[in-house]
Amino acid sequence: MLLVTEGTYPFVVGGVSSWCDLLLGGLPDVSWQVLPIVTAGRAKKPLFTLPANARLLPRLEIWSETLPGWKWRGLGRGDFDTSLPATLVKALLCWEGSRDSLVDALVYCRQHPDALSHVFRAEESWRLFLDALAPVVSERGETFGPPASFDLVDAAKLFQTLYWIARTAAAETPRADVAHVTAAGWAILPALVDRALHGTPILLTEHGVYVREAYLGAVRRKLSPGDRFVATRLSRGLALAAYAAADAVSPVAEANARWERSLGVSPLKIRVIHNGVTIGDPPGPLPGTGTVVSVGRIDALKDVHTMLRTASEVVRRFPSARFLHYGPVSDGEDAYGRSCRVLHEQLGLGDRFTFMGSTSDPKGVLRDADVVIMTSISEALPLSILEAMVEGRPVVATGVGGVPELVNGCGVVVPPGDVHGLADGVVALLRSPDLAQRLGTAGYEKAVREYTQDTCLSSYSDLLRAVADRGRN
Amino acid sequence: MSALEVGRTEAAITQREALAVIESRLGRAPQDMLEAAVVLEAWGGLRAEEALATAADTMSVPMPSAPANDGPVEDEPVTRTPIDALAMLLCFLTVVLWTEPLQRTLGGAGLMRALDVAVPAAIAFQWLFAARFPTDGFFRQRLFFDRRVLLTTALAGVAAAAAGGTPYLVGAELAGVWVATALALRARPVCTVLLLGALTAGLYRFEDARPSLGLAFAGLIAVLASALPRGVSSTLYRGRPWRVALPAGVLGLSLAALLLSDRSVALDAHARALALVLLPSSLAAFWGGWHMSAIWNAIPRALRGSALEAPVHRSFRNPVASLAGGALLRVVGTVSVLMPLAVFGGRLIGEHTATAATAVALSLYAVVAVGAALLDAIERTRLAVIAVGSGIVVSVVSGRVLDLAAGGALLAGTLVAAIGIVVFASLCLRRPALLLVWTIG
Repeated sequence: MLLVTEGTYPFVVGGVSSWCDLLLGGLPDVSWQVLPIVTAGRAKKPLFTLPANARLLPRLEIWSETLPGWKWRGLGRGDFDTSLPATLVKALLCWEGSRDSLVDALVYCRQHPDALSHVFRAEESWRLFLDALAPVVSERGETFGPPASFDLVDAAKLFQTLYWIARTAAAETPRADVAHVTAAGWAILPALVDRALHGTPILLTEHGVYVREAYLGAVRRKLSPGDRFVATRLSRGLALAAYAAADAVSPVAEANARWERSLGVSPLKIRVIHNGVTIGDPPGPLPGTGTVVSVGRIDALKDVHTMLRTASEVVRRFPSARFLHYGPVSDGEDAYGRSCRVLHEQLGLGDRFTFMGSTSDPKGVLRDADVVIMTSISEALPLSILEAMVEGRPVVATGVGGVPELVNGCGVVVPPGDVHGLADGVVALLRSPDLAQRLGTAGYEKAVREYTQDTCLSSYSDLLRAVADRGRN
Repeated sequence: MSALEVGRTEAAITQREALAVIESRLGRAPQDMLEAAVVLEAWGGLRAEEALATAADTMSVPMPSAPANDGPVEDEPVTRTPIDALAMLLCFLTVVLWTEPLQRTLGGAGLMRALDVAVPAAIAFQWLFAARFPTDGFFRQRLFFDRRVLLTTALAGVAAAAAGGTPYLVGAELAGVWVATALALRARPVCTVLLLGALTAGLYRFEDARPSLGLAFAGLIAVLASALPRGVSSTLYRGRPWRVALPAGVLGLSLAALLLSDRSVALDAHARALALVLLPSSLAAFWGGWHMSAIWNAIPRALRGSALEAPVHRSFRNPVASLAGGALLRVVGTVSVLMPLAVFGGRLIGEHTATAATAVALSLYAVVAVGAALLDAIERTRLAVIAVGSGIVVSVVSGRVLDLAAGGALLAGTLVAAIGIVVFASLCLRRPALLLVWTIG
């Protein structure tokens, strides 16, 4: 199996990486080859030890200056398809892009890796690209419109992005029975080529919905119209190509499946496989210390500002409450991290809310909690909540992604950003230890019933086998 | 109440409420229904299908447009610093000051051989390292990544030169001192200047220059080592790739070869005079190059707001071309003022070797250096090497075939190189959008 990751395993700690680690180690009969696609400059050393049945392929760096070695191609001009950037822009950015022409273009990239830098440096390529781009950025329909502005700087940046799309597609991959792709984005590119050239079937597992998260990221980062248009349309183009090519799609939550169906994935292709966790001994009683714990990165998607405001409200109503937040600041979110510190200061939270930094023992820190809180505006099926359930801790969370189906019956779900709703939930549980204990126990029982590692792994094993069989036939 | 009573929470959401959520979050009309849907899901509490359905409906309602531009393009900090100018000045100063003691150790012919090694090696490595380690605030971290390669190269270079005899060893040590000075100045300027002062005193105090040079080289390496961080975990700080840096080194080497191609302008006992006339040329090149370093701000500024069909792709009427023109004017202005002074200064100290031909040649050399730096910055290093290489060929051939006055061959060579560089740079400057595109790597 070829496992294609994007910005996660094995170089970054997080939910997707933990899932990859579980999958590789939990299916020892499967021979895995892991192809990580990463942004240049990120951590060099793997943070996970791959099991014996898995091999890490050289990572594929995008936006990197470390390009593949130059090869002598002889004296001929070579097979330079100067229409390649134009084809890519039409296939990926048009509202109704052509999937077939996209795959043909990506196959060209794989077959002519040495031609790519020449193609993208040719003036004719640039001219054809601009000719193709102009109608794309003026396209208008009932449910979409053109960007408010799109100039030559935006065009040049897009041109460079397409070069890296081509480079990613050009990367050599080992032959595999199944390409298991972990994101419907850049990670699909090598798999699309393998499918076209060798018939390798594709299994797509989405933890978050790629296109949804790209749009959400563009909204909260306040991008320029051109940057926003490129970021969102490109992710949409990649995601739709992934959905069209995937032989099976396995979202981790029904909430993701709803997005995927809405984006045109056939329900017949979709099989929801929940994340699984290790179930330990039945949990002990709540500590009764008024401790509220959260585990997650400090990232705008986690809406830590709402958590801080909730803490302020809770402390006002329940003065002995103490909030402990475990998790590092995400890469590239330093400004957001600073804004959290400033808000913490402004709210006068002092030692009532402590940023504890990373933890290597998330289950241990959850055991210290009377209540576990999560305030994200985007989630799939968060492992931190699953682990809280395994530890028998009641959860107060925002109802995003797969959270409602997860927390239903074992916690409180409120709309995202609802500070008062979150505070009400936390205060109610702190004031009613019996209720908190009952919900915690219900969570544990639900985890035992529906979210075990064995169930998760056997589901993937079955699905991988079925997809591989489909490829052989 | 609208028919859009959707939502998982207790409260239903109407189309008006949906529009309010979208507008308050975005402050503008959504780009498409997916953008509206994610806003409604993340901040309106709707489920995916409901968010998508509501979003599709809201797209038909007019909303405020987004601003066309989010603000002016902000200037990025200039990457070159006055410390680079100081490094250059120190190198020239050392040539002037060290000629006499070095000649005492090596003799006239030996000094010439030493400088034949030192000058090309120093210029090549300075270009190589300038490309590999840009002055961007992460200089020390980038240097840390290459510490072993750098040390090994330095030691191997000195060992190889030592095998060739004393003049070559001194040449390698000189090159090492000049290159290390350029790097160490960025990290520990005071220590570096003090070390060079001590070296100069040592050269005058002792008969043999080699131990002083060796100690100074080792001292500069130690200064650099002391400035490095203890560890850098992220490859984010890795230097620019060798694939980019090595051609820059080759370009530096070819620029040095052009300088040394005319043997009538010998770097021998008259090196002080040559250093004096090279000084205005180098200052001009530095000022022009510094001015050109604003190109990466000028290109986006020139293109920002340009429609895709705008006919600006082939025109000199763009800020980038104006910037290049400004750089050229600075070069011409600097050499026009300073070169006569340098020639006059050379005569005052009894050196009469700097002819008018040499002075003009070195003025043109400044143009070549600035143009070469521009072509290297836009990854057209090969074109620059071709232009400079043509100049070398012309200089060597004319020096051998024609009976030219001192500096005449260099003048012919730099003229050809300057013409080549200006032509190549002009072709590039007419198309600022392509300049941006060419930096794809």
